[in-house]
Amino acid sequence: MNLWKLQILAIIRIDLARTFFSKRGLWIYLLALSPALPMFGHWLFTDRRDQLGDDVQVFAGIFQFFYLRIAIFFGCVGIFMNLIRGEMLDKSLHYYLLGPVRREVLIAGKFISGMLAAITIFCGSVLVQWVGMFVHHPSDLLWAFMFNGPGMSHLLSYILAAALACIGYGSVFLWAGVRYRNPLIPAAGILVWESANGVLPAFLKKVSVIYWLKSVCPISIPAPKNAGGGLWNLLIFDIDPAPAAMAIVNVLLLAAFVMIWAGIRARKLEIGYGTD
Amino acid sequence: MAVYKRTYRGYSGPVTSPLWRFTVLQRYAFKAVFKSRLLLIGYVGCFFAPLLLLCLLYLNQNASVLVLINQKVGFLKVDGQLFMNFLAVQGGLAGILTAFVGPFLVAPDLTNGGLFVYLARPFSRAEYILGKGMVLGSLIASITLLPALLIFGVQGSLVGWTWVADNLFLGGGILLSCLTLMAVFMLMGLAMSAFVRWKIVAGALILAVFAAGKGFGAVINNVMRTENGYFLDLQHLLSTVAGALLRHPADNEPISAWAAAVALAVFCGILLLMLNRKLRVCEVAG
Repeated sequence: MNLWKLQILAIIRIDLARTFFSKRGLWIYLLALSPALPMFGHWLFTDRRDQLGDDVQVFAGIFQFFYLRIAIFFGCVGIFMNLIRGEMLDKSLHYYLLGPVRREVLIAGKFISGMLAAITIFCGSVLVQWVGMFVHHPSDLLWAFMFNGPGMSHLLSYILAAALACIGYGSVFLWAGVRYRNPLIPAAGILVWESANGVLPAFLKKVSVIYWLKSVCPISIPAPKNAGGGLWNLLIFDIDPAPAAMAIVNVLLLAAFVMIWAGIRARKLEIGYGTD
Repeated sequence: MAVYKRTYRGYSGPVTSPLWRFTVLQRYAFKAVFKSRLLLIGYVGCFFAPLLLLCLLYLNQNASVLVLINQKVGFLKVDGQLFMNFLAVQGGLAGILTAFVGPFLVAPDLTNGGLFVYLARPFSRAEYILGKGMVLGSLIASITLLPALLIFGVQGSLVGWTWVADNLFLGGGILLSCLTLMAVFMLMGLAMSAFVRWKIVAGALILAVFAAGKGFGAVINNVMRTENGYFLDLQHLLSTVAGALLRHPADNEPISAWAAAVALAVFCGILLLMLNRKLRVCEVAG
């Protein structure tokens, strides 16, 4: 195995342990699993037997409104910004920078470790939520929905969308962590940009991650009619979806471009522990 | 240990009255806050909407100018809805301001072990919280309460005191709504700053509490087919209380104003408990 691969594997090994088991990352698990709580509560504490179709719609709404736009977004802020700025806080980044490892390799290792952690947590949570949402339905109906109907395809689409969200947002936030001393400012900017996606012109809609993610989702959520919430309603505005294959390729291309940019930028990375 | 040089002498100058001692902390914290040029620009930007509204109010009563743009006097209706919209915009800006200013208040003292320097003086924890909180409080008041009251006063002076007498409840509503907003944002800024010592994460967490609370509340409402999820939605709770105070409640409001007020009080209580837990200098074992 060549040197770069060995170095990347070593960085992944160190960072995965930090991401999965650090006390600082506990809230990411809570955020990822938070939708599952009412879903299991619904199964355990209510007698009502809902129509399967209603639950499919509710799951789609929660996934697109809450999970993609809030849970994964803020989860990726926590995971990926922690990879560089967290090391600054712990005053441990210099161990990497003093080692005989190229900055680009360091960034690649950090990105892959963050991506693995984020995909495991957020895609795993999608599975848990799916079980919580549909487990109360009769087993024969569920079997038919999953294996003779669209259930399995929906589940795989949601997992794919969650994984792409982790890759897309992760790359952008890792770049922000490398580029900015206070990555909260770009994060707030990206949040506003992604939230306003529903009202942007067609061309600008495509300069975002959420447009491509919504294109992968199997069900589109209709725009609210007379719903409260003001500006928050922007989050659930409908889009004209792109083909799923194009969406996947575009998110991967975006991530690759941003990571190359971050790698080049990392060559000039300097430590300023005192200022963080 | 022998003391050779007794160069230390106690301070003998005038001391700040114990009642106003917290303002010392506020004064110094303000200087630190406005060191950031970006924050200063953002803060100044928060006055764009109030200035625009003041200009519109003036135009609203200026017949000669309105004729030029084919409008009639009173095209802008100044009522509870207008103040609700104004406070919603300014409240959003206040939330963003809290996310950027809040983490700079308590976290550095805790991270660098500076809290004991304050508390070793005749300065209580409550005064510390009040002093630091008033930094946020005065910033929020300056972009919400003061402009809203100014708009109320200007409208009163333009239209006449009969309008003021008829709409006095608006003044009271603005005052109470803004004080509630200030209390919630102040405590949240301080609690997050104390709880998460990394300033960037604390700021993100403040934004996330609003976004995730709203989203999680919607999840509960949809999955459980209930309306109790609104109790986790801070923005909804604040607008429900403000709507009731400004006598402009939303149509089909799912929760009562009293229930929203109690939920906000419980939320503030939890934040205070978090602060109380984190702001401890040391515990001496007997």
